Order: sequence, then C-alpha cells, then structure tokens
Amino acid sequence: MMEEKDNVAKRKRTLDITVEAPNNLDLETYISNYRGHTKVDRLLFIAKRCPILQNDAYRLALQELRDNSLDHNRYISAATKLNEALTVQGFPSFSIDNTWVDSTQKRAKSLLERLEVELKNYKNNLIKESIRMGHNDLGDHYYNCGNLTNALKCYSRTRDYCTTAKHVIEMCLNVIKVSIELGNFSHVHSYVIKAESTPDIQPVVQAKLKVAAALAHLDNNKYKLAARLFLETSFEISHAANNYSEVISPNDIAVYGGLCALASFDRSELKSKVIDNTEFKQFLELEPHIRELIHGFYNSKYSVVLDILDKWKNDYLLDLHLHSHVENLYDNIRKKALVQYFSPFLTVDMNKMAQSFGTNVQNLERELAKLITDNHIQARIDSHKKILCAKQQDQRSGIFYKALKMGDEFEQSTNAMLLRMNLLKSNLVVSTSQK
Amino acid sequence: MPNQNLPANVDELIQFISVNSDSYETVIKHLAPSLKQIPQPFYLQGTSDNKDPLDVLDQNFCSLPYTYFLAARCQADRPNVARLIQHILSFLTVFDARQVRLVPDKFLQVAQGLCRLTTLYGNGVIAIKPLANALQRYAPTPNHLTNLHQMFIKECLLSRCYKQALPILKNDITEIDVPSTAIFYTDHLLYHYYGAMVYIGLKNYERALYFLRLVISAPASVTSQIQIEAYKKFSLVSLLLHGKIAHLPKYTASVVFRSVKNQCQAYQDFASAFESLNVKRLRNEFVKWTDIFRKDKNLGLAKQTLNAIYRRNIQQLTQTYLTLSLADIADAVGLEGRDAPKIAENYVLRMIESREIFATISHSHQNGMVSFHDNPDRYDTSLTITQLEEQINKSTTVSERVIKTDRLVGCSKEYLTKSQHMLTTGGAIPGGLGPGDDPDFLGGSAGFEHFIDDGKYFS
Repeated sequence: MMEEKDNVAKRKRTLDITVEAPNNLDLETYISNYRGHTKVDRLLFIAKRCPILQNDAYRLALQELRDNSLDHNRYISAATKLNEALTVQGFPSFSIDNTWVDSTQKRAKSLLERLEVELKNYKNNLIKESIRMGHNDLGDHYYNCGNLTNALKCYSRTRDYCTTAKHVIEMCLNVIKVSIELGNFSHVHSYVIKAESTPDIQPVVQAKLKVAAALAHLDNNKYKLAARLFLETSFEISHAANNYSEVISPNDIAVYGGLCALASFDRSELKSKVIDNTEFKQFLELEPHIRELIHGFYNSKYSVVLDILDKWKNDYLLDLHLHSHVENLYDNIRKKALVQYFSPFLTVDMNKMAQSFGTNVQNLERELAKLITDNHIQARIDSHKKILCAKQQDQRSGIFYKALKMGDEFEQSTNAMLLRMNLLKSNLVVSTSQK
Repeated sequence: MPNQNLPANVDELIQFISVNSDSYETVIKHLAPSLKQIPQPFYLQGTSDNKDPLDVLDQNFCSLPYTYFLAARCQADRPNVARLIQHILSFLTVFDARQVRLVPDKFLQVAQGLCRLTTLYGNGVIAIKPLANALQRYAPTPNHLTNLHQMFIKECLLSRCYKQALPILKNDITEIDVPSTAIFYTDHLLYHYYGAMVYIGLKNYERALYFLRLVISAPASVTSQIQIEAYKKFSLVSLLLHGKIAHLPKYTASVVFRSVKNQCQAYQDFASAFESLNVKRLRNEFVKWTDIFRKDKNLGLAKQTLNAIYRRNIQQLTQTYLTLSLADIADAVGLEGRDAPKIAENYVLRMIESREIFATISHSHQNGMVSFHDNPDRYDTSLTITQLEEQINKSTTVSERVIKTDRLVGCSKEYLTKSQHMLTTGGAIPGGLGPGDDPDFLGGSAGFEHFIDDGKYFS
C-alpha cells in the first residue's frame, strides 16, 4: 500500500522532466520503427522533453501528419509550437502549408458527410454487415482526423453488428488501439479479455493482445504482470507483414520486457522465463544492451548493470510509455541487486559493497537500512565496523515467544466472544431505547 | 390477595419478616413479593418500643429486608450518617448474597448510599475496600457482570485507589445474567471503560487496550458516546503500545466504525503522523489538536506518545543495526540540538532498564557506541515452564467455558428448532457440531489458529 503510494508520487515527479541530451538515441532510425499516430505522439513527446531534438522532431511529426493523415488541427498546433521554438532560437520560421490545411479540411468534411449518409442508408436497409462496415469506416475517418473520442464511439458501436469472431477481434483491436492512445488502460484490459475469449485467435493477434495488456499493466505499475506478458509475446509481431508498429516496436518489447523482468523477477524466474526463453531471445537481439544487462545481473556483475542502466537512462526518459516508470524500475532493480549481492553471505564488508554499487558507505548504509526496515534483507548493520551481518534466527526462542503470545490472544479473543455472545443473548445491545 | 396480609406497622413487619426468613424458599415465596409492596415510609420508622429495626434484624438471615431498610435510609433526607455507615459496613461483610440478588436495584442503592455518605463524612476512601469485598461475594461468579461493577470502579477512579480495583478487574467478564444483576448495556460499556482508565493509570496498556476494545466492539445498533470516547483512548493507547492503531474485531458494528471515522479525525490524523515515525510531523499534529485532546481529557496520554515515538524509533533501530553511535541514534530518531546524543543516551538507558531493548553502551570510543543485542531470554529456564503451564491452564479454563457454552447452545430451543428445520430442508447444521458432542476442535493445533482468526463460530 505504502509502496504503491510511493510509486505514484514518484511518477508524478518525473512527468515533466527535461532531458538534456539522449545517450544513444538516433531519432531517424528510432522513429522509422513506427507508423501512424504513435509516430506523431512519440515525436511530439520527444520534442517537448528534449530541446536538442526539438526542431527535428517537430519537422518529422509535421511531415508524417501531412503525408499520412487528415488531422489538420494537430498539424497547425505542432507547426505553431515549432515556430515558437524557432523564433526563440533565432531561426527563420517554418512556413505552414496552408493550401494543404484548407484542402484537407474540405476533404475531411465532405468525406464525413458522405460516410454519414451511407451509414444512414445502411441502417434503413437493416443489413447488419453493411451497418458494421459503415460504423467502422466512420470510425476510421474520425481516427484519421484525430478525433479519438468519436472514433472510439464508432468502433464500439460496431459491437452490436459483429457476426463472426473475426469481426469481434477487429472491433477489439480498434478499440484497444484508440484506448491506448487515449491512455484509458482499464478499457484496454476489458477488451483484451473480450478478444481473447473468441475462438481461433491467430498467433499474431494473440501477440498484439499480449502487448496491449502488458502496456496496461505497465501503466498500472504492475511490473511483474507486464513482464510476463511481454515475455510471452511471439516474435511474429516483428515481421513486416503483421507488425504492430502503430502501437509498439519489437525493440520496445525487448526494452520494456527486460526492464520489467529485472525489476520484478527473482533469480530463478529470471533464468527460466528470460534467459532460457528462445522467443524473447530474438527480441533481445534487437537491443543487445538489454541482453547484456540481464546477463550481467544474473551473473552478479553489478557494476556492469549499473553502468548500462545509467547510459541508457535518458533514452528511456524520452520513451512515450516508459518515461514515468524509469525511476521506479531503476529503484527496484537496484534494490534487488543489493538483496541479491548479500544473499550468499553471512557478513559483508560495506566498503567493498559500496564500491561495487558505485556509491559511498554512508549512502549505502541508508539504502540498506531502508531495505532492512522493509524486510527485504534479513540482516543488521554494524555501523561501527561497517559490516553487514545476516540475522541469526533463533527458531526455538521464536516458537516460545509466539506460543506464549498466541495463548494470550486466544484467551482474550475467546473471552471477548463469550462476553459478546452472552450480551447478545440477553439482548444488551447499544440502542436508543431507554431503561 | 397478598395485600390483605401486608403488615400494618413496623412491629408487624418485623414479626412478618422473622416468620418468613427461615428458608430461602419462603423468602422468595412470601417475603420478596410483600416487601416490594410495602410503602417506603415504613422502612424509615422505628418500632413501637423505640428500637431501630436495623438493630433488631439479623444481617445475615434477614439480608433481603435489611437491604430494603438500608436502601430507604440511604435515600432519606437527614440520615444519621455515622450510625448508618456503621450498619452498612457490617452488613456488607455478612449479607447473604442469594437474598440480596433478589433485589439488585436496592442493593445498588445501598452501595451508592455508602459512597455518598462516606464522601459526606469527608473520607470516600473507606468505602472502597468493603465494597470490593461485597462485590466479590455479590457476583454469582467472578466472571459475572453486576450492576455494582461500574459504580465501584468509578469510585476507585474518583478516590484514586487504582490498585484496589485490580482484584475485580483481573477477572474477565464473560457471563451476563440480567435477572439477578439488573444490568443494562451501559453497565458493560462503563465498567470496561472505567476499567481501562484504571489500567491506563497503572500503565498496564495491554489490559487497557483489551478493555477498550470490548467497549468499542460491543454489539450495537447505534453508537454510544462511551464507545466514541473509548475509541479516542484506544487510538492513543495503541500508539503507545504498538506504534499504530490496533485492529478492531471484525464483528465491531459498522455504525461504530462510521461514527468513529466522522468524530475522531484528530486522533486518526495524529495516529498516521505517529505511524510515519516522523517526530516533526507528530509535533505539528500535536500542536494542531492540543485543544481537542485537552477537551477530551486525553492530553496526558497524547503527551506520552510524544515521548513514545523516540522509543519506538530506537526500537526500530535495533532491528536494523548491530552497533550505532549515540550521535547517529540521535539523528535517526529525530532528536535535535547540541545535547541530542546525551538525550539519546538517556532514552537508551531507560529502555535497557525497562527491558524494552537489549543493548550495551560503550564509551571507549569517541561519542559512545551502542551495541544492540537479541533478547537474552533463551526460554530455557524454569520460569518459562511456569509461564507456559500457567498459560495452558488459562487456555484450558477458557476452553472449558467454551465447551459449556457450546452445550448450552446445543440444548437451547432456538438451536434445536433451527437444526431441525435445517435437517428437514436438507441443509447443513450451522456450525457443523452437534450439541457439545465433539469439542475436539479446541485441542487440535491446526484448528486452533483458525479458531482465533475466525470468529464465525460465535458471531
């Protein structure tokens, strides 16, 4: 409970952070992994957070909006922001393509009218399939124009007209896509469940659903559940024909899955579910540093682990889905590393330990004290000699102590209940009636 | 008609009493109903040859009528204080409990009268001990609650004779018998509330908490103000004892939960500040709510928690550290100022003395170094055996009581009708046990824990 509150507080703090410069990010290659709305979303997100990449990101976003969408409102707002930034930096401003804006506006309007008329006709004819198509087309159109709430409404409406499992899945995927963009992850959950209950799901669809559910868990700070789903995702999702690049890239799956797993799995789970997972290995090939990270952690090379984490931190802070979890995940990974480091020993020299974790003894002592209070490590600190000692459990004394305490509790609670029973029997209940 | 047989004057009354006091049966059959109908003034008069009935009647054989006489005189306008006190005191040592239980109201009047008179006389304390003795004889068993209980404990509180209350308080109340003790639900609430206050005065917080819990979790369809006051004390005492508000039984009435939530904001905020173990925050909350604590007369308790937070913090440190310098301790528990290490040392010393922690302080290093140890009690002395045996005995007594109750329930009309109904409709018998035929569930170690955690058998 406390921890959860803590997590939320931390997330809020990282919401508007500015990243000086990315460590390894190459904007062009990074963004080429995506298409559709998420591409624009990610670019605008980066532009907002990272001043160095701002101009390029806005330009790429504008390009994408102009080429592949009818979302003129977003185009204008992005362009205005770009121009603001350019003026500050003293560059000539970007010229907005007004003819495109005008023509798009008109096109969008006429298309909308046409689709609405068509839908009306379908409804009059009462042919289920046509009505479904009509709603779907209208939804697609709204989606294209960036009107997500209306798109969601249209997609949801197709539900009543679905006749085959395929239709249901199509509807679910559409709703999930829009809900992810809207950040409404509880919606995502319910539709993933709905889709999964249909018969004969193709493996690709299955993979997409897993990823969507995983994102929802990630948003909810449920890292373990998220990790499991990411790790179960089939690599088919990375094939060009059936990729999910309007939501997520295979590289992301490697990163999200790897970090969540490190932050929440114990050693044996890490071995069985991550390192021995042939499917996930293929994802890891895409992001070799994550593979190194996991192996480093598993082989107890903590300086390597911390080094890699440090090097990539800024990049993750620029990720649309991951940014707010970076601190939490990093904290958890560090905690687990500390716990694991100590686990085989009876006593540990804190000077050495501090060295491996790149910190000084004072800070380490504080970290360890916190871990001990939270019962993650069963040990005690010899602050004088700077040694961490494992706690010697005296089972026998513990049993005696517990037995005596239990006897007391038994006596008290039984007496209390006997009294209560007799009070009830005599009807001595606190009530408004007078003597 | 019994009315026609009623004595016409005091002489006849005394005659009537002595005739009918031979056996308990005649007392119940003839004496008790008649005495009830005799008009009050009768009990105030003397006999025709100017004797006081109090001198004439035997205090043991005629306990019932004697109670009537005493009760009436206690309420009279101008009693002869010294003499009356004398009579009451000697009566309290010899009365026949069975007779007195026939008129619990009158007996209560006598007891109250004694308290009033002794206070009038300028020495309330002298009433305490006789009352304690009387109460012990008056209650059918030590586990019975009577109408005298709460007023007795209240007297103890008022005259600050906390220790005198202990022989009564140490018996857990489990039995309720309304006809012979004339109690009302407030008797239960007040007795345990006052009892808790006595225990708080004696710093036996464990027991105080138990008493307060009984008050709060009493069966209720509305919330009594006593329960709310109890909750206020409950929250502070549980902070002193456990560092957080202790849990309440599941069967606590939901109305009580609701009213407590609405009316004890100060205490809940204060408790969450304490739970954070942040000294500054606790002090801020304390300042914020001081007026309320004072108004509720809980300021003393609240002040104690300000002290307790340091002790709690130090206790926490023993879980985390083997050795720690005094300066670090002062820092960790939130002590400030130049003298902080000295104050910390003081706390540590006192906690070692009271065996709250086990530690040694060494001044051979600079600043002083504290080494924390485990509890040195290895549970391998005869003391442990004694303790265990005592505990086992207590548990057995409790179990026997449960078995007895189980049998009673098994014989009760409600249970039989219900189980009959269940049998005919094909459902399971509630509780799954026949009347007292298998009390084994109390002995089995596996069922033991379940039995404690899960109150369903009784609720």
